[in-house]
Amino acid sequence: MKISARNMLKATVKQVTDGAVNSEVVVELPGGQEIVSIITKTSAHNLGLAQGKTVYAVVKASNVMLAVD
Amino acid sequence: MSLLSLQCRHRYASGFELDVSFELNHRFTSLFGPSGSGKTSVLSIIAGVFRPQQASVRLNGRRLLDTANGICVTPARRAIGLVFQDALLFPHLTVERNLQYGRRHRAAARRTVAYARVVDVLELGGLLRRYPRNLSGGERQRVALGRAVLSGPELLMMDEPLASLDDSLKGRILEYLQRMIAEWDIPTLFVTHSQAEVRRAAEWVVVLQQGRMVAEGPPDEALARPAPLAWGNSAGPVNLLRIEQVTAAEGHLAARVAGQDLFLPLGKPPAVSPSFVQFRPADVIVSRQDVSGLSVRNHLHGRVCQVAPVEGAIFVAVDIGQIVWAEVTPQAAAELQLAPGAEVVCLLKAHCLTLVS
Repeated sequence: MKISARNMLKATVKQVTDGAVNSEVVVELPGGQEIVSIITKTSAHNLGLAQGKTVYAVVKASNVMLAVD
Repeated sequence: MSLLSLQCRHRYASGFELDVSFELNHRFTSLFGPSGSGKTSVLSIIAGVFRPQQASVRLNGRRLLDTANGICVTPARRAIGLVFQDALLFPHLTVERNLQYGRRHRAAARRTVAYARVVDVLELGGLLRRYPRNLSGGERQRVALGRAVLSGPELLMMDEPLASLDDSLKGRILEYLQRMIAEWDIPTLFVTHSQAEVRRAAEWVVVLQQGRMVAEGPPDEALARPAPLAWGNSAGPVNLLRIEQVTAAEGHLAARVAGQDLFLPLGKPPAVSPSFVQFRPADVIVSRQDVSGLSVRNHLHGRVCQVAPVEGAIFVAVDIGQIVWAEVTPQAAAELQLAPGAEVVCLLKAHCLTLVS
C-alpha cells in the first residue's frame, strides 16, 4: 500500500468495542504497548476486525505529538 | 473606472511601514492577512478615520482623499457603511431607533433602501422594541448590518464582523450578509484573518502581509500563493469544500462533493444550503492508487495541480472539482512522485470533517 502517511505500525487487535456509530479498537504493538483507534463501526465490520487479527496503525507524521518526561 | 482605488503609504513611529495599492471591481472582496498585516489600517484610511502621510482614495471615481492635493472628504460624507467586530450599537436606543439612526444619516441623494425590506431580509421584526443589552451577539450583528445598509452606502466595509461570534453563528450571519449584498447590490470589503470565511464568501481576495499586498485574485488562486501558504496553522491553508445533498444515513451524514460521495460524522443535516465541510491539510493522506483494506471512509479522486514546499513540509493542492490541500512530508512527496498532473486519491477520515453551515 503506497500512501503518503509515514507511519504504519504492525499490530494485533486486542479488543473491539462497538458503540452506536463508532468502534473503539485497541491494538497491541510487538513491545506490548497499546494504541487506541476510533473508526466507524461500518469500517470495523468491513475490515473484519476481531481479536487476534493483524492490522497496521496508520498515522500521519504531522499528527504525531511528542512529549518528554 | 474602478469601484474603489486605493494607494497609500505611511510610516509609523514603530518603524512599521504600510505601502499598499489596489483597485477593486468585485462585489465581495476580502482583505485577508494575519494580525498586524495592516488590514485595519487600510480600512481606516478608506473610511477616513486615519489620515496617512501619503494616500489617494477614490470611490466610484469620486476623490475621497488625495494628500498631494490637500483633498480629504470627512468620514460622514464618504457614503461608506461600517460594521465592526463588536456591533457598537447605541445602548440607550431600541433596535428600531438604532436602525433609524442609520437612515437619518444617509448622505443626501444616495441610494434609498426601504426600511421595511431591511427588517424583512435581516429578520429583525421581533427585535425592534428591544435594547442592545437584551440581544444575543448574532442579533446585535444583524442590527449593525441593518443600520449600515440603511445609511445607503456606496461601499460597505466590515472589520472582522464574525470574530466575536460562536462558530455556529458565523455561517448564519454570513448568510444574512450575502443575502443583503445580493438584495441591494452593495460592494463590500470584508476584513478577516479567517481563510474559511474568505473561501466561503469572497469573489476576490487581497492578501496583506507586513503592510504590503502579497497576492490578489480569486480565493483558490490567491490563497495558493507562497505567503498565505507559509502562515501555517494560524491563517494558512484551510480546506473548505462546498457540499450538496446532505442527508442523514445510518450512523452518519452523507453528502456529495464535486460529484463524489462524502461521509461525515453523525449530526443534524443543515437546514440551510449551501453547506461546507472543513478539515485540516494535515489530516489528508495522499495515495497514487485507490486503496482497499483501510478504515478511512472518504476516497476523493483528483489530480495534483500544485506542489508547494513550506517550512519543511510539502503542501499539495489536489483538484477534485474543488481544491483539496494535503500536507505531506518531502519524503512522501518524492516517493509518491507528487507533481502537477499526477492522479491521486485523497484519503480522509470521516471524523476529521467538520460540517459548517
